[in-house]
Amino acid sequence: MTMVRLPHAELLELFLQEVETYLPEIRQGLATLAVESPATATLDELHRLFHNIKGAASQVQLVDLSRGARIVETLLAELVEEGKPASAQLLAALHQTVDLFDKFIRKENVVPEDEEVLYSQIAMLFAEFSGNGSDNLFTDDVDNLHQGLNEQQEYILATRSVLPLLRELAGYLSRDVSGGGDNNVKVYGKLSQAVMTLAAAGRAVGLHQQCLLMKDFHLLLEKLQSGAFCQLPDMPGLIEDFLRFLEAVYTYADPESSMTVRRVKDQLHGLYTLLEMSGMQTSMAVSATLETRLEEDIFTAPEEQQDESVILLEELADTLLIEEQVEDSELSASIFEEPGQETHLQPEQELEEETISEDQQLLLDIFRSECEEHLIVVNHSLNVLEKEVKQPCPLSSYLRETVSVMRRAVHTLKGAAAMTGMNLTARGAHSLEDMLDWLHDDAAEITPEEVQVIATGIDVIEVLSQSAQTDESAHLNRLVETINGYLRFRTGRVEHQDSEPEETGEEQVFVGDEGEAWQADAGIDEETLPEPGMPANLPGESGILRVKLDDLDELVGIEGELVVARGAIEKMLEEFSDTLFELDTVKENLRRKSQELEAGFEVQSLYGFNPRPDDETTGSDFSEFDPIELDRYSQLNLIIRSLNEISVDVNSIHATLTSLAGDMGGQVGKQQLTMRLMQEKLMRIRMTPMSSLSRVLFRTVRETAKKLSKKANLVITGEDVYMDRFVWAKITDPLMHMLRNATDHGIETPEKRIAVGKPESGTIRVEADQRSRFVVLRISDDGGGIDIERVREKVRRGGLAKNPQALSEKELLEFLFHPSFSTRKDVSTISGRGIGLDVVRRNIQDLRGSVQLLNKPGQGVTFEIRIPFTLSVNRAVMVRVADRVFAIPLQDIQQIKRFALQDLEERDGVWLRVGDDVVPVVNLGFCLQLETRITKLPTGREGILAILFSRDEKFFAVSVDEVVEQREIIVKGLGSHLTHVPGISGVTLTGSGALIPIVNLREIIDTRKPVASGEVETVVLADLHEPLKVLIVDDSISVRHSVARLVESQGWKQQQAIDGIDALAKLETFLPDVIVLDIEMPRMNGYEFKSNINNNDQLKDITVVMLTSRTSEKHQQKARELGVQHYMTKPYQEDAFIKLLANIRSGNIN
Amino acid sequence: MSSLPDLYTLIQNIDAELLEVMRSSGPVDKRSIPEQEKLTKYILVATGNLHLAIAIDDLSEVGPLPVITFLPNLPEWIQGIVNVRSEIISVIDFAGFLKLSGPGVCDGNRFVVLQHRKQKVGVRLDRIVGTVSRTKTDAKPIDFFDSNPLDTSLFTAGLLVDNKAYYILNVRRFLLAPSLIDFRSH
Repeated sequence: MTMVRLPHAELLELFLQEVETYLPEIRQGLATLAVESPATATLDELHRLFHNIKGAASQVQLVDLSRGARIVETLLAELVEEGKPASAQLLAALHQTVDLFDKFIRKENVVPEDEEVLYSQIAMLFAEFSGNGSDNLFTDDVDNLHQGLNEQQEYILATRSVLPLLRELAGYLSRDVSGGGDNNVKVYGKLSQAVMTLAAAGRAVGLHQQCLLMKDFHLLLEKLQSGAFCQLPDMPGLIEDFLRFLEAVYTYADPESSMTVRRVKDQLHGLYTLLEMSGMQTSMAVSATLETRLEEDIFTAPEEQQDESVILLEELADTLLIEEQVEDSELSASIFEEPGQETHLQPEQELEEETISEDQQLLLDIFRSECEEHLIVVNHSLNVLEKEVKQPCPLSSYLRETVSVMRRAVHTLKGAAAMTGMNLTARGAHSLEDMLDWLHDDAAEITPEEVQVIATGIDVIEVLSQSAQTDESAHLNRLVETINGYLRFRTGRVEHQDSEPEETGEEQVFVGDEGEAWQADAGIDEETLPEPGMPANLPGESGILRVKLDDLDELVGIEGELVVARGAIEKMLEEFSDTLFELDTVKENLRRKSQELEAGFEVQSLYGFNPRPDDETTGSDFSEFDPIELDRYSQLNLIIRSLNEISVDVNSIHATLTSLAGDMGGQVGKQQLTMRLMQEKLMRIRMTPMSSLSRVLFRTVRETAKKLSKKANLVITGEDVYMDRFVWAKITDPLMHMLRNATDHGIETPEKRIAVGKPESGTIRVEADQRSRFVVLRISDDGGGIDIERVREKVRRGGLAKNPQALSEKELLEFLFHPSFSTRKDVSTISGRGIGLDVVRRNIQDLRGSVQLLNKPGQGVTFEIRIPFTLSVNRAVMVRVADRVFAIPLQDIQQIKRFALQDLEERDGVWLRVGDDVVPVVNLGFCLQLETRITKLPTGREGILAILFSRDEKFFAVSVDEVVEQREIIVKGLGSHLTHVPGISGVTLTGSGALIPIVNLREIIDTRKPVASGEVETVVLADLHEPLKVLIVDDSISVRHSVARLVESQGWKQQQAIDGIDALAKLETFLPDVIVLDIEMPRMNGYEFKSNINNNDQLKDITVVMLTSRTSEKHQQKARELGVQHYMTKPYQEDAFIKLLANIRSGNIN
Repeated sequence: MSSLPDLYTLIQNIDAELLEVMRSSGPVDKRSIPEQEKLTKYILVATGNLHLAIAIDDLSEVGPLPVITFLPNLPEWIQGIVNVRSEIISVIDFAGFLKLSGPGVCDGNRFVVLQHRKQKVGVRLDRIVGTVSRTKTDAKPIDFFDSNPLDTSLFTAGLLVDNKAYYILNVRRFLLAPSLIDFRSH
């Protein structure tokens, strides 16, 4: 039997509506067939309708209904094909089918069983017509029967595996009547759950009698779990026995046979009776319910009736599946109709109705995105109107065109809203469109009041489009009333009787004054139709594809991963090249040694060394030849020859690898270029102009001014400045906050403005300007500015500074960014709570930006925000500080230079001379809490490597140990927890996945400064335990690599040298804590090397661990004489080796 | 109670077999299957003198500690950040966060990543003891254990495993704790 899952309620509803529209047509067709014969066209039409029902039903997962329709469809197809008329019986069957469909679609709650019943009934109706070509109609059903039997078999097998486990579980039941409470509850609970699972699964495979019995057993267990029965010492044993009995039933018998069913029922009855005799606790309400159910289900049901159904099932299983399904459906239906089940269904249905499907959500998202675009246009037009219409004025062609543009956008928005089912938004847009229609077509002049009404309308539409529709109907009603009232007032005309659109099926129809109708079908929207003669754009050719932002972000993330992976390949390629270089050395050695062998020993070996024992030429007829005259090779000869051949082979392989390395390098370079292009393209996609934000800003000023009864205009310039969408999103709140502040704190009341000779209406400006990789946003107002004395007073009263009088204006203004600081005397919903500017700064800092405040008392305030336009990619300089690598974005750096001693000054710290200026320099390691502060001039001649940068138009410098490289970096945040760490703006990844913190120079130099209250910020010095640095000197590549891996596994650093000479070269740039040294190496052996560094003051104290295969005391003695502290022999124990190095690191041993 | 672990194993076996039954029968009307008290799987861990039980569902990662990258201007109990499959996770010393006296800053080489929605924090550990599955009713109230007073807002219950008390960490509360989020004021 096919179990169906109800599709989404809405889809089902649509389907039922669709079928409802077909039924009259089908009835009409059947009436035609009754009088006309043969009526092929009618049969064709009927065939089409049933075909549609079949397809649509399948679409909404009403599988059985689809199968029913398929039976009818096939029969009709046969009739059409054979040109036969429909018989009276067939027509009657078709009429009954239509009635069945009619009945089905009118059901309030459709459950799967209804559908099964419908299918069975249709199948029964048409069974007699399935003689000829329609034999195959039920073939599938026979297959299903087989499949059902297979499923039953599988179920029985699986149940056989579970029952012994359940019996074992029952063995955990405590026999102690007074104890084992919790444990027994747990065991009964698990048993009950398992048995119910078996019942549900049994039902699914068609074992209905077993399902009922399992359900009854489940109820019994549930009662035991809830304590409804007195605890009997024998109960665990009885349960175990019953489970054993069930095991036998499922092992030897057909569980569904009437005999078996009766026996199980008897056993269960016995169990129940025993419990009943033990006395029942009646206090629990649940017990009563369960009791009734149990009695009804097991014991009070008439035996005959049960048996009949069992017999019927058995008979039908041998004959037709259809009949079984009828029976099945009835049984199933009876189970589903239980009141308990109904109440169980209820919440799910409700939930289903409330939930928005994924498709709908996608549609909504698309609509909202489209709506944004229209609203940008609408707001832009509104901005023009607000600017132009300060008093009633004639509607010039410019203004009319502005209204026209707005009207077009509102109209399109209306269509899109209706299509998406955003009916309130559609109504709002419709109402606003009325207003715009009137303005455009009929009005001779336009007034500020009308502009205000339009602004209100736009605000309402905006709210409606972004929120749950039902929450905002009050807004809508107000808008409709306002617009209708206004239009009545201006025109005296009677507006639409129905401010609500008529609903006719799926389409929304709005009826206008002249009776013209606009339908929510974009396909017939005249304005969207192309001009005659113009080629219509196909959807795929329109050139715009909507992409979910998340998808785009994911793509950028993946691209970032690719860049990192490419970095890893580049590193590997570098290592590969290094190895090739080593191979080249080895190859040369091999060639030289081969030649030496050949030259020095080959001829001798012909005479002096043992010839090959198996050489057939020895003592043969060729003995009279001199060995040179006839190639009579000894073993050594052969080895030398093959060595030569190997040398040639190695040479050849080296050449191939070198060529391959070159090719790979070329490919990696190409990949680098392509990826950079891809990165740029992706970034461009993420970029949006400021205009996407401007409507929100206009609205903020408009609403705030309205609430405060002030007059303020917002002027935005640089709307075409682009920034990363993410950056705009993060900056929106700070901007809105500053605009509210400007309107509330900055702009004076109209009366006050007039009194001081300013225009009645204040002006707030937002200017965007792109400078290199930064965007500078200036938010200024022409209000009264900040009263510095009031700030000072507030600081004094709050005890925020020791001597407020001594603070400069700049220092005082800094307090505005402190939490809970407000100079406003009263607190309103708009501002004055002191919450805000600290958050504003924090948000901007999160974007690696900065904010500055410029105050002009009496003339206004300007905030200048500087933010990088994207946070995703950057170029950075990698610097080494205290043996750690940090990244510094290139855009933050003015200059990197090694300053000679003559450019340095020592006066309360170190200062640099840059041109005519002197700039303080701090060692970056100190700012990063890795080093103590350097206050003295360096002693060497190298001077200081410093990075110059500017902040607040002043220069600063930090010194670093080394500039490692400059490269492109992928910027990542600091994770979900550490959203903002002062001085660190993010991290980047190396090819190997290591993290490199990105330093924010502007912040990092502040991190050690005392806070305003004079307290020193508590900071914790980092663990200055550096990773151990190890130089591995060995001519064997295997040894080097195995030691290197071991060292790196501890998080330590290592470098390698292939012999003493190479090691000396490495020591020029790498000062290790430990040298792991082999003895025998080409060019310079270990002893020679140690002896060499003993003469160097800087190197002689480096701990040396000799790692060699030489075990003799003589070798060890020699090492000791040279000052080697540790001697280990190969093969070495890894643990011992690591322990030794760890001890050296911790200083436990030298 | 000594046989309890066997009982849990048995129940797990039963669950596995029931899954097979469900699989054999195709689609089942799950509404009819009653809700059973759920077994929660916990990972038992130790950091300093503190033994914790953390629900597996609250974890996104368990394993050896990756290389920690130091960041400045952080309290001592935030040891730095690590890269876990391109995701940046902070690593904290839990005992340090709770200001518990003990053997000092955790320098173990195991760690777990706790997760609540999008918030993730790594905790450095001395060792991972094992895992257990327990129901809600198996958990004992925090005052059941005679131990150091702990921040009961983070630990609402405990488990007794092999006669050792493991405090069940309320990961959601921990990850939303103001002292964790606003670490600079902690």
